[in-house]
Amino acid sequence: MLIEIVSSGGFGGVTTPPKKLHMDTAATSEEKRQAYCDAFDPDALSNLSLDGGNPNAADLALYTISVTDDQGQEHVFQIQEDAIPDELLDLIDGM
Amino acid sequence: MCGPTPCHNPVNCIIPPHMLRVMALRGDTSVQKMAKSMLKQNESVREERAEHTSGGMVPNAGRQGAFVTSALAFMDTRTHTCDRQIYDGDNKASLPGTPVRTEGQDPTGDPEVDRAYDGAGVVFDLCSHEFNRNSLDGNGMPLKATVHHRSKYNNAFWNGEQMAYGDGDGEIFQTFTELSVIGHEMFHGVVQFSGGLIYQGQSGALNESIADVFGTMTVQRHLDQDVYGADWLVGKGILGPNINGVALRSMKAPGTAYSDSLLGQDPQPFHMDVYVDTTSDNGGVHINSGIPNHAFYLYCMYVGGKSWEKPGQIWYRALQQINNPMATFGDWAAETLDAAIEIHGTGSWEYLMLRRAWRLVGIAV
Ligand SMILES: [Zn+2]
Repeated sequence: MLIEIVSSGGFGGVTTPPKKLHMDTAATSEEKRQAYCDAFDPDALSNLSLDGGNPNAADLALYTISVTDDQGQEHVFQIQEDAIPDELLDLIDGM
Repeated sequence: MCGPTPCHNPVNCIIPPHMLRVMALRGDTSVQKMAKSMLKQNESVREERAEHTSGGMVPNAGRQGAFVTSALAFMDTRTHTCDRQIYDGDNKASLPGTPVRTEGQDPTGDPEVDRAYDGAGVVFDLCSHEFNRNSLDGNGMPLKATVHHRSKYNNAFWNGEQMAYGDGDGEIFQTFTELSVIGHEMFHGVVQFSGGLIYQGQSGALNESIADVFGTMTVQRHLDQDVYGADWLVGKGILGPNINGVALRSMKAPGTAYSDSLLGQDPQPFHMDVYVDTTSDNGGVHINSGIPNHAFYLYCMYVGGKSWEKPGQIWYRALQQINNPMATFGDWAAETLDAAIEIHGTGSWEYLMLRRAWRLVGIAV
């Protein structure tokens, strides 16, 4: 599974350069691979992308997450920061 | 849902998405749930989450179009109580984190904690003494803030309930607990509890501008600066040490806060002729805010004195009375003029100068 994450926006708006992460789970340990596959499961991300986040929030970042599964199919999701579970944000910060 | 596909929910067909967004923003818990449920069914509009218990509104005491002002107009500022609660996020995403300093406790020695605490107090004081407002919601809500949010996090935000400040990565940003940033984030809370402005396009840019206006006002009042002595910068000193810029935004000269090989050029316009049409940044909310920001600056230059006096009183009154979460720049300008008339009278010098300021940024009202 290939995972690409681009975070953009926030208090700085377009000033803050987008932060880009790229991960090929094949290049990680079996333990991490499973953790990434679970965390970036397209069905789960799809549900998160349907949640627009808190409409009263301001200055949150927007995450564009692309997942290419083992069949070569690419899934792209846009998710507001506060709609992403804390554990997944911590995982992203550690990538 | 209302096109060729048969609609199974007649209410969903009747209420257009923009009205559902307002209901999701301003309704009580049950209305928020209903509106968000409908938005979720509408494939063109995302569901918006209902997590609030208050609905973001203060009772209006029967006055149409006036929210917090009428709820607070007769409250003695001596009854306002500051209740700061600062948390350490420990570089994780979970909010609020571990409590590290509450109201009345001594400084911790952690500069981020202590700046967040002191800054929240300065903003509370501005709200209380200049606008007779008891905290962000007008009802004394605790001022909750988390510092050290996430790891090398280049951002600060208001999440609808609290403020959160990252440490920055040390390269692009080096801190977010600067007073104008603290004031900015906290006034997003004031906007929310004053009826809200949808965070998209011009209404979103107004939300941003109001946060910048009162963020810089927070700094100016803290330093007891008049409008001519102020620098009118938002985020002064938060950029990394090697970034070529003085701040994130300039209300005096939008578009000139920085020019850097990594960040590029400050994109803010100062006039409607150079309004930026974009889909990024929620429709350019942090970009086009430069236009109403500059109008406020120009007005301050005309009337002089302190920004929290005549200009601040007009802006605050307009915020309490606008009652239009989808307001355009023109709607907002008209509301500030109405406020100027209420405070200073029709045809007053203050009114005429305000109209001139709006016209100078390309908004004819
Ligand atoms: Zn903001």
